[in-house]
Amino acid sequence: MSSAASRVAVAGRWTPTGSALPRLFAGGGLLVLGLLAGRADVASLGVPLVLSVVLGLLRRPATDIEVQLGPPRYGTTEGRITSTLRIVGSGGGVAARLRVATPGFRDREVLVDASGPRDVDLSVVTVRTGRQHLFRVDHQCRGAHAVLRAPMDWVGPVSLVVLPKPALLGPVPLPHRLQGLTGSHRSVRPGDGGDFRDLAEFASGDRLRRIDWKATARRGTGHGTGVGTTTLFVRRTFATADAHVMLVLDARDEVGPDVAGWDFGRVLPDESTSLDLARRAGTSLARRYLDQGDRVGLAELGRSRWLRPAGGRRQLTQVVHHLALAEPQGEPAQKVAVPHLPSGVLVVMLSTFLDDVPVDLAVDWRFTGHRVLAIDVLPQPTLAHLDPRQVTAHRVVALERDERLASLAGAGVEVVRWEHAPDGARVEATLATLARTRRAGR
Amino acid sequence: MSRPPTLLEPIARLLAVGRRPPMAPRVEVAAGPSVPAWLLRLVVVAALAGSVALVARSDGHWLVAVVLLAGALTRPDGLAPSVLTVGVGLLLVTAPLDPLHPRVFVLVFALHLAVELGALVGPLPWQAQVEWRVFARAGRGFLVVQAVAQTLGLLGAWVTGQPPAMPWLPLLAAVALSVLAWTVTSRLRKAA
Repeated sequence: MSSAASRVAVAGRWTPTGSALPRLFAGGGLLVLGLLAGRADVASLGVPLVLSVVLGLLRRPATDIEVQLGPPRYGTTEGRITSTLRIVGSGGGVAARLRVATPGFRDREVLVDASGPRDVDLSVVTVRTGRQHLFRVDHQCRGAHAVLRAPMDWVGPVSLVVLPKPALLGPVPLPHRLQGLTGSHRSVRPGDGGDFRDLAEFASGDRLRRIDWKATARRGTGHGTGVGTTTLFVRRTFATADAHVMLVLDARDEVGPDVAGWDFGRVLPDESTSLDLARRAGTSLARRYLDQGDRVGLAELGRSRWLRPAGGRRQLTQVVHHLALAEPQGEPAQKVAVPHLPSGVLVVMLSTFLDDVPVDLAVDWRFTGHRVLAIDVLPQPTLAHLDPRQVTAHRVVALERDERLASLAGAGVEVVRWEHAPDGARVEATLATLARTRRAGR
Repeated sequence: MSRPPTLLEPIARLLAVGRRPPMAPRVEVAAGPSVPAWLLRLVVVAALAGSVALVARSDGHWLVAVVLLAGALTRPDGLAPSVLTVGVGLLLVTAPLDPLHPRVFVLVFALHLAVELGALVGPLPWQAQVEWRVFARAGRGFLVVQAVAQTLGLLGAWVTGQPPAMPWLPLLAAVALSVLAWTVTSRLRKAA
């Protein structure tokens, strides 16, 4: 969050408005005309014009103007972002002309009373996540009778990072190969875990508490080398391990549901973009994996920064912040640096798949033995504002995209469509189905 | 196998052509109760048109007035309201002498209102909002000026209504006016 302040130290630079001189000359002319013609009624028409200009000049503001814009506040329930504009000193001005601009919203222009210190709340409602630059305020104070005006100045914008809200997910898919010696998942190796593997004869190094006395009583007597000897049996369990998950975010482009806005990136603030869906999907998956003790990392396509897989709440905070700060940098690059992935990770690719780059990477990673999950974050497209030629063009783009998704599925990449539904029920069901897939197959 | 298009589909597609995407919402500014600037522009034009109606005596007058009214509607803080005020004064000069006629007091009020309101809302776009509190503050100054102007009008009507007109009074007023004009112009030059 940030705040901003503007101070216009221009007490001597108040200038006449465009209407001051015409009013003065018109009023003076009528006064002279009335005097020459001996007509008081004509002269009286000019009196208020001249008098208002004279009074406006006499009440010339003497102090500086100071306008401050407070840090933005985010209301999580309705997505309202509010910031307070404080007019500390209007320099003796009567009114302040404010023009408030925020990307994605239409400007609002108001003339407010600025005769004393006051606060004015500025707010927008948006479902968008990530870094927001809000409330650039152009302001200009005006003196009495609109005769003098201060120079135009501005304050802001202020910035705020809106973090994506995670959805609660059920079972999630695991990588083909688990790693480490601890964790919440059952490994294929014997070791210290919870799940029973088999019985084995007691050997040097086995702990005494692992001896299964019932099995020893049932099977151990007489199996030894001599008569009367007893062979001890121990219970062996599967070792535990954790999963390493790498989220790969394709933030090279950001499109909204209205296809008519894809060319200029125009998205209404009450519509989630592909990047909003990707952030929400990434946050939900990261939280689910980290909650079950796994390690999660993050890489961003086209950017060199990445987070190594790690566990814990601190890692969740870092992943969420990285996701929130990801944004397109110019035109989508066709050649991107391939993120380095640790071996045996589950790759979760978050992309719109509107070009071949993420598809090629996902297929390459699948062929190198990673389990790859492709999360399709393209919002449900709206074609209502397209002309027939644009509809045809979109149909071609959609067919190409379908073909890419089909090629992903053919290469063994599991594709999940991330729905915008707030409960995420369909996504959860799909992920649960994939979670039941045997890891061995590998 | 694709479904054959129905009769309504091409019509719906034709209707969709040129349909504009929904407009983005505006930033919300929690100012007090306010009035739209377009309404104030209409008030300016209505006050000017009413003033013209009180003095216009021919279609030619109205023709010129309509041009100036259109100018006042598009640029309320421009030259048009002031020029129209001067025009009303000229028409008043050619009208029969009746300094205590109520229309004079109405004209003083309406023209002052139009010019000052025009100066206030002129720089604002049509869709801007003006807080009511601005009028409360500016209204006091407006009423003070009105009180002075109407009183001077009454005084002038009384003076000009006296048969033995005081010949030194116009001369004194002209001198005072010249001093005032010189002071104001020098201040404006300094301010600019």
